[in-house]
Amino acid sequence: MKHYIINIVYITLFVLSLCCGATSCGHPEKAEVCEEYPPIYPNYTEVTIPYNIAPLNFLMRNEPSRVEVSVKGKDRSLLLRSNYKVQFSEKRWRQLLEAEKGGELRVYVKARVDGKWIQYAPFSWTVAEDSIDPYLSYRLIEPGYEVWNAIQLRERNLESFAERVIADNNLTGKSCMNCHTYSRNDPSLSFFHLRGEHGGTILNRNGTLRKLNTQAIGMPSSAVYGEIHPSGRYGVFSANVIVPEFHTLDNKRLEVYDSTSDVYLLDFDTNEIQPVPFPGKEGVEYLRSFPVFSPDGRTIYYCEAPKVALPDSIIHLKYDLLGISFDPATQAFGTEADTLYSSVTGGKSVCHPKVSPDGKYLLYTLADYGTFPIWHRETELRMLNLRTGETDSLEEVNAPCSDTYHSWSSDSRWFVFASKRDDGIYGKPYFAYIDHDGKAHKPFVLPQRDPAHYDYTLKSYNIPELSTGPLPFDAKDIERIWRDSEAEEVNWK
Amino acid sequence: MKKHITIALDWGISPVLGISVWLFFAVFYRHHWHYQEQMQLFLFTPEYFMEQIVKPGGLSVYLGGFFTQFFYDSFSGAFGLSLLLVFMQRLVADTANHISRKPDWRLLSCIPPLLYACFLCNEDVLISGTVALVSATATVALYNRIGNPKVRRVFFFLMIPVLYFLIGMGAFVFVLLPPLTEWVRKTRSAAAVWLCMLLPGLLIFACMTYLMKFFMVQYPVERYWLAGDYYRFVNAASLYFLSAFLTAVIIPLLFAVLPEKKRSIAWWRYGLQLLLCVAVVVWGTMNMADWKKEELMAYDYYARTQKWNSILAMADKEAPSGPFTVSMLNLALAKTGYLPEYMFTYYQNGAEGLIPDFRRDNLQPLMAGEIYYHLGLVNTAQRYTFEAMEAIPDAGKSVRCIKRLVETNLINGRHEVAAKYLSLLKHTLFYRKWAKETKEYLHNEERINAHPEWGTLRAYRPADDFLFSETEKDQMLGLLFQHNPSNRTAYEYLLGFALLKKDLQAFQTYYRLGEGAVAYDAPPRSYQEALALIWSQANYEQALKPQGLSDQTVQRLETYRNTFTSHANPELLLKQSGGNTYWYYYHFGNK
Repeated sequence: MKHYIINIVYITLFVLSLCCGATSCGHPEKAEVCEEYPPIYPNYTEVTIPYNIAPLNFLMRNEPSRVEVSVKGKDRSLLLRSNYKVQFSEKRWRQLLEAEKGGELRVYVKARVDGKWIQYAPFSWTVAEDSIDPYLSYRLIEPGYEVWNAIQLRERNLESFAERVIADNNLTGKSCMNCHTYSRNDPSLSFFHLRGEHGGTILNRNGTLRKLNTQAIGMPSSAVYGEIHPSGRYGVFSANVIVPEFHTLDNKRLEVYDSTSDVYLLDFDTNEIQPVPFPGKEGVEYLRSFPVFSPDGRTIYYCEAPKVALPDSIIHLKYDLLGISFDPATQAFGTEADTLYSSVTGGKSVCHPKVSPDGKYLLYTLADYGTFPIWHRETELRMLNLRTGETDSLEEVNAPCSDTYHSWSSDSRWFVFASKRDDGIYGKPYFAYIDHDGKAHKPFVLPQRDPAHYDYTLKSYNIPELSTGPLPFDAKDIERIWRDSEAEEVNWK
Repeated sequence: MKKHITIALDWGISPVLGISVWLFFAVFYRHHWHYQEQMQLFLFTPEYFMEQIVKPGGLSVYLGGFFTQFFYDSFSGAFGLSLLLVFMQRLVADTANHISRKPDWRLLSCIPPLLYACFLCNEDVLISGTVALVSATATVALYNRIGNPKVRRVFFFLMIPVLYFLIGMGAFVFVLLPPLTEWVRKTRSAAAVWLCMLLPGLLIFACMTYLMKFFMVQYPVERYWLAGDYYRFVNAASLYFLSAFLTAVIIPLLFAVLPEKKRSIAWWRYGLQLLLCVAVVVWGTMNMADWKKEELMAYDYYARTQKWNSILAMADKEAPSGPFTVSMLNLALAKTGYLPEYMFTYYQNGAEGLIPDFRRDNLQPLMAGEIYYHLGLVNTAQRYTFEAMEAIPDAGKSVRCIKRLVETNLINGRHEVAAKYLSLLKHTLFYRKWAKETKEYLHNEERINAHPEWGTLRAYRPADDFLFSETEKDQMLGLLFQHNPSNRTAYEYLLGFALLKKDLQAFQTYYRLGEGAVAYDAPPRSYQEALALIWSQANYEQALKPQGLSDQTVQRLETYRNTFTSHANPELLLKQSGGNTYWYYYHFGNK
């Protein structure tokens, strides 16, 4: 009897609450029309996405009590009712994008705000026919100054939300570790640097890990920036003595420059290293950094600046973009370097050149001065067409805060970069599409299962790099090589 | 009589223990806990809960953080902590009772909580360990209440992995106590206990650590052995916990062998136990309590909460001597307008005591950051805050740092990042209100400009960019003052810096910078003393007499000089007669 009464009470309460909901909160059909886009975060309005990307979950900044989202394509559609966080089913999302490949999706958002339904202006998601490389590696670190604590390298599957740790400084004596770099998006050819005691450059060649001490006697430092030759035999690296300084003006944070730097070629087969004999002007000392290979491996692109008095003349420290020929068979270098961007005529400083795998474009970062663009708010990306010599200012892509640390997908249709556009401090990976006419499209941020993820995380995503498959190692392998292996020494050639 | 004593002991021990612990941590040792409270960011969000709970020992970490946040108010925080320790005592007594009911020895149950309370005097010992021990002993109590031996065994083997996952390393108390209880109560044979309970239990415990390592590769295996983060240096093994946890195992077991006197009262037993408890407390407070750090943390707490007069009152009781405590005193003097007047009334230990150099630490940069903040070097204050948060050994976040980062970013007009930090603070218990109020300042420049602190600091910030230099603090202070001559703190720090460096020439140059810009009725005492000293070095040439220098100061200097020159070893004598003068510092200070 007692249970019977309790059940009746519960049923009555349930029915009453339904009635209350129906009467006081109205129907989505009677929504008030708003001509603005919904206040969604991340801003996924009017973006171009690959058909193999994970669901673009988002949240409504005005925190409505209910949201109704309808995503309509030509053949398929998807309806979702949720609270202020909109999280799509992975399976249904995948089916939708697969069906609408090459088409356009219209997204209709209705939200119940303060008891009233609002119908926002619909926006589009263009589903490109080109897929994106399915794996992304990045370094997670607090965007600090000199002190670091927890650093991780992670690999994320872009087709889902799966993520795994590929290196963690908890396992390597809390040492600093630099970002992970692939050669031509190949998961079996990559490297990163582990600093500190037992550190070294960790080279992954066909799943075999090696640890190298890349600082030969007399070099200013061990390897810093660089890339592996497409053949896998060579690495071109800069060795930099890096000095951090701290600004006192409100809109500036950190200035990092090299007191000395130069570029070296390392043969991984013989462990022999040699300075790259760049042609220079007599009596002028240069700083050289950010060397990369062209996709055919026959050119080395790099940045070069004449030395100035530092830090006093830091604003006059401007890097040119140059290219020099290289013969992998003989390890011979050209005697003349081509200037692709001159800081004298252009007035700015170049960093991080990256050539698209098809050899058509060279993407680089442009800052007012210096060599550490992540703390330069004015930093923007530029795309040089190596065939026509034209430079695209990528207006669709750049935002007011730093956009840098970019890398291409293997089909040269997508590139990923770290942008601080949301708050100026915390970098996040954004993906931009380059269509077959060479036009760049509005980028979108790496989607997360929980759309509030970027609100809560205090980590910055550094050097996001795309790859065609998962890496053949994980954090345990890195722990093992850090702990158990002596670093191989390199010698001068 | 014996019955009454037993009841009184049973009901009296816990309140006495609780009140003692409460008073100690709420009144006498509260600043350590204020420090602990700042060094975490406890959020009431499902994401934060999940982030904690997925790690082995996550529940104790979560609950430890939950209790620690209440030290925002030391009385509330200490109440929660004492409650936990009382629970621990009751649970130890419960297990002891289960083994053998000997009320005469009840006081022994206080030893594990007292020992743990002593360990908690170390600022790096976290409450998560207390939670873990309470949880482990509570699970033992549950085990003891299961009548059916088969069910008891199933419960035992089931709870080891569960408890390990929830509370971490402390689960070993549960691995040990039930089998040993069965053994001493003779409910099972020694062989059965060892072979069928203890060894498999230990094996499960060990397997859990390796299993966790298998699934969560990012930590070294030691971290899984020490799961639960009972110590801020999470990968460091500490004997503290082992000893406290072992007492919680050994003391109940002792009840099986302790003698019992049924009729009369054995007063010596109470005396012995009391003596033992007192010995634990005396040993613990002598070895674990660090009163120098308590003083440092008190200065930091008052500086953080801007209770400048409390700092002065503390210094009047006992003058600080460490660079960081002295620097907080100097900041308090500057904020109350007394720096140039009374600076040398207190002990000074050089320029380090005015603005300490940067150190990789989670507290000292915060204290130095307070100075930069109040000077108007907002970017430097922000950097020090960020670095301090990064230096927290367990890689946690700090509510104090986040709050300060909100302020520095608002002052700098970085509203987006300030909003991000505010969105975190709005999920805390004690900073929610502040976050809500501060949210009103976002994207409202006029309102920030009108804020009594932020608006002023905004105006103090340098207009032209320069790179911060630890070795050229005086130049930076000079630039700050030149940018905004109303920044009196920068001016007084600039002069103070020169005085502490004993650089009279620089003092004279800097002093002239403020003429006309900084209004004093008469030059403050330490400036007068320095000016008199400079003039004396020019043989009191009338034409060179500094403006505003009083004759009285010159007379005092002459008296000082007479003593200085007429004695072979005048230091002690001058300390008594002129120890509070700049001259004494100039000759004998900061050697």
